[in-house]
Amino acid sequence: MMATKPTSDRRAEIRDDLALVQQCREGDEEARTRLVRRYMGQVRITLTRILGPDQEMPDLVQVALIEVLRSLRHYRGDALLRTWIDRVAANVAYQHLRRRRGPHTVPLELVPSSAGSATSASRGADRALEGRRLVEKLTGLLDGISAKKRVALLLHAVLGYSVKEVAAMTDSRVATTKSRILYARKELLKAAHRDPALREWLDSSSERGGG
Amino acid sequence: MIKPSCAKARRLLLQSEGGDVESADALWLESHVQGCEGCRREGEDLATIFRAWRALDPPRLGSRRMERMERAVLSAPVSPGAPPRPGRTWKVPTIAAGVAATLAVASLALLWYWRQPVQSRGAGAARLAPAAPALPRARVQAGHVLVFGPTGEARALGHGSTLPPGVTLHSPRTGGGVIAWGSRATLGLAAGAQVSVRRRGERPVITLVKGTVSLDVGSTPGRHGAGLSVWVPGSGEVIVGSARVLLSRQPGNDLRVAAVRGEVMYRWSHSGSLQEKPIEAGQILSHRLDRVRLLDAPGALSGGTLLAAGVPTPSHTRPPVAARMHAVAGRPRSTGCSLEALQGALARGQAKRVLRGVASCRAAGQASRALDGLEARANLQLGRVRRAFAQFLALAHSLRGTQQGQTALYSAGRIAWTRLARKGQARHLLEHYLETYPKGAYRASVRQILRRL
Repeated sequence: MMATKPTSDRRAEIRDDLALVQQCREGDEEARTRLVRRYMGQVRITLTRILGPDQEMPDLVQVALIEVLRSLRHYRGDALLRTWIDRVAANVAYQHLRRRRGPHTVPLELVPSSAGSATSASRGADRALEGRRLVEKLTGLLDGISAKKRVALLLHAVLGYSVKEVAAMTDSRVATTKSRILYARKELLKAAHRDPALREWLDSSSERGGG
Repeated sequence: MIKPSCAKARRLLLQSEGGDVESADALWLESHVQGCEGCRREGEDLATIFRAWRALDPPRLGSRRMERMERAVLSAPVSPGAPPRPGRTWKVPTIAAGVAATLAVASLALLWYWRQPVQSRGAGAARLAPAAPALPRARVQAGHVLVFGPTGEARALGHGSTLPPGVTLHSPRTGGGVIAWGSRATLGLAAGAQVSVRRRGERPVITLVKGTVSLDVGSTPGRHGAGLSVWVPGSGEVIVGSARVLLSRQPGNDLRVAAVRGEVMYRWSHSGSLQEKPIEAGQILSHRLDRVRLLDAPGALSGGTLLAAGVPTPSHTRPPVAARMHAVAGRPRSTGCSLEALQGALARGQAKRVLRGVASCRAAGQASRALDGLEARANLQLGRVRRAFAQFLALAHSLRGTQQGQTALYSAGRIAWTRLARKGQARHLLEHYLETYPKGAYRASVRQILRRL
């Protein structure tokens, strides 16, 4: 889970955020550049953790950042700016998931080299192929979950937001969000256990973890 | 079946992560998780999946790439918009009414424009008919644009050409662009370019910066995708991205491909077999969308600038170039053999029907990789594992270097691991592959499978 900062630190950070946002609203180009530079990496990670590797990622990052700049007037300082930006990125990811239909293939060049290490000790191109298979499997698992449930689950389980924060980020009630996360977990596990290769991978990971 | 106590434990677990679980419940939860193998295992499995998913974090961007993205973001027009709200778009009636009124004027002007005879518009950009005075005319600042009229006529516009009203194209950097007029949306630009397309009272169908070409041809009952790589010379980005082309299966929908600059070697897949053809500057080719799949492979295009877009074209106005393309592909326009029908049958588990269909297609003179793939999958469904395995391997070899080839190899590898390995039957088939294809592209992968058996 995301570590909660002491209240005074959080207040100070929000004050800084509000100052930066105010400068951006006043048309300060330098402030806008600073904001884009500071949060570009975070937006990429948030989008990747919700969508997985995607060929349209550079476009989506830009769309999300443009949306951030356009919506800055709505930032009131209720939450940290990075949380608010994650909310915008999550919305962009959600809209993309709704648009994205059909099988989602993962290009080899988008699979990080570390992805194959979890599955085997093979090396080089073979390891990349192994990693790609795993990534495709995982992507397939998550693609089987509806967009709303997927976004809620990944914001909570992978990005570390609490259920209340996820509910606020997705404009939903806490009970609805809880239900989405629970159902998403259930569907994810069911699909993973149905796939023989994934079951084998989970078994071997569990044995390694246990041993 | 999940035990009631396990279901309760899951709910409490989620609550405990938010810190709002009572102490008695917390104690019960702890004792349950310690004693329940199912819940413990489930937690471990989820943790493993999420750990692997987190490992997909993208590598850091290079400073040049970051600067380019920064410039693109900062150069985009920042007009105040509605706050982002998931799943809720354009529900404010006043905005919708305003936009509808504006676009009604735009569509009337557009209708007037396209109703003019083609001759009066002129072939060259400089002789395009003047637009309605109240509407802005956009100019191609960089790159090239392919514009389609509602009846299917297409024109390739080069640098400095003027676009019809209603289309705005803004490109602060060098880039190429595609706009299909008459289809819902199309674009494909290099870094920094931005296109916004509005059509007939609808919200902007596309407002994107850089990259992806995306089409949506009207309301499409059945959609399928195709990959397309666009190479923009001198943009610094080389491969702009893979295009996703959403298209209708209604008759008469064409994919247009135009070379605007230089000569482009254009490759595509037709019923599973590879085709290629050089396209000269100014030439426009047309494909029936339900028959052609563009290859999603870097290097599928070489040289020149290629633009592509889809547009619904009424059959009576279809230009003769479509017929020429079919002649090149050597396929009759309509045959009794439908790949889509066979794929549907396979999805419904009617494997024997698929095998009969494949046989009749071949008897009618149609032989393709797609049929081979269908046959292999049907055999797998029927439990003819060894035969399916051998067919997938042969398919992987014949489609080597393509996405489909890799998919076939995955299928073969999966069969080897999950079905044949236990019976000890995979080894000699894989060795047979190594002997049969001494220069096979997948020898390394096959050896890898062998080592794991």
